Amino acid sequence: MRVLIGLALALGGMAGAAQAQAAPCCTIAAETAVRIEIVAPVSSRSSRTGQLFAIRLAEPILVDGRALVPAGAAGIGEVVHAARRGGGGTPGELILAARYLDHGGVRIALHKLRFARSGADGRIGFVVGYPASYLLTTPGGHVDVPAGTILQALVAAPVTLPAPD
Amino acid sequence: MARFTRLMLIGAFAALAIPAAAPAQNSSGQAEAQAAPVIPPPPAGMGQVVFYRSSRMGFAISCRVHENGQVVNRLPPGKYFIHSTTPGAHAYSVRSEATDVIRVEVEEGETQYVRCAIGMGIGVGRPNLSPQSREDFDRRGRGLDLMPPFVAGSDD
Repeated sequence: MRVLIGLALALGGMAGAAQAQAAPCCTIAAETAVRIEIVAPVSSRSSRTGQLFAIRLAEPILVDGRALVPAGAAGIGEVVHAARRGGGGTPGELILAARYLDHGGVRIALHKLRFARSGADGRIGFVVGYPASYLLTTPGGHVDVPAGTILQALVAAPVTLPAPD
Repeated sequence: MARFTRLMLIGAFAALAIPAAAPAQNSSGQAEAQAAPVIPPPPAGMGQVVFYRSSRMGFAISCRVHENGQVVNRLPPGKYFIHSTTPGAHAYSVRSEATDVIRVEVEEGETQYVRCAIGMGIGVGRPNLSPQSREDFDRRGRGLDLMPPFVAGSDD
């Protein structure tokens, strides 16, 4: 009888240990700052509102000194607003958002990328002459975000990941 | 014809080229010395958008900001207003001979900045809403006055 009880306890202990090993160990807190890299160029010349673009983690996400998510983890961003520059002097416009990073099938939601820009204003000039006067404009500037640009976003909600290997 | 062209060229003395959105100046030119208005944080659970119009360019052109067909507020030159709103996607528009729409994503506790400037249209000036940074507001927002809340039926 004692042997059976001992065996049961031992098996229970092993199962518990296995469960503990498989259980997630580490949580990335909401509002943790992450540095992300734009993988391919994004520009007000060609981007469209709603278009998705590739991002990746530029620096590992550290929790208690452990790299829970390695640099290079892939993710997705979205063009919230894009407008081409206009002939009347209006500049190109671009608002970008970071949506998520993917690590081992777990999505790490991101927000607060804080990228809202417009290009340089165009210029409006008056040429006064005879028999007519003219109003001339130069177009505004574009907003170009080259590949490799590093931006900061925040983790939108707490996410628990398995312990790193 | 050559004489006519020459006359035209000689007569053309112009070229007053100014940025489409030059900073506002008051009569004594003191705008540069003033600081941009201080923007308080949004109410709890809300975000906000600061709309501003720093240029006197196209002073006669209305920059009336709409959302979902409703007027949010009007924006004469030298004014700004703070629009507190729910977190999420919002589309704001201004209209003249054409409509310009800007889509912004408002996040809780955050402030976005949108500038209205007047570009050139075919017949009339064309207001344009563009996304801006806090730095742009600090730079161009010197001397701006707060626009009171919009009251339906009021004039531009």
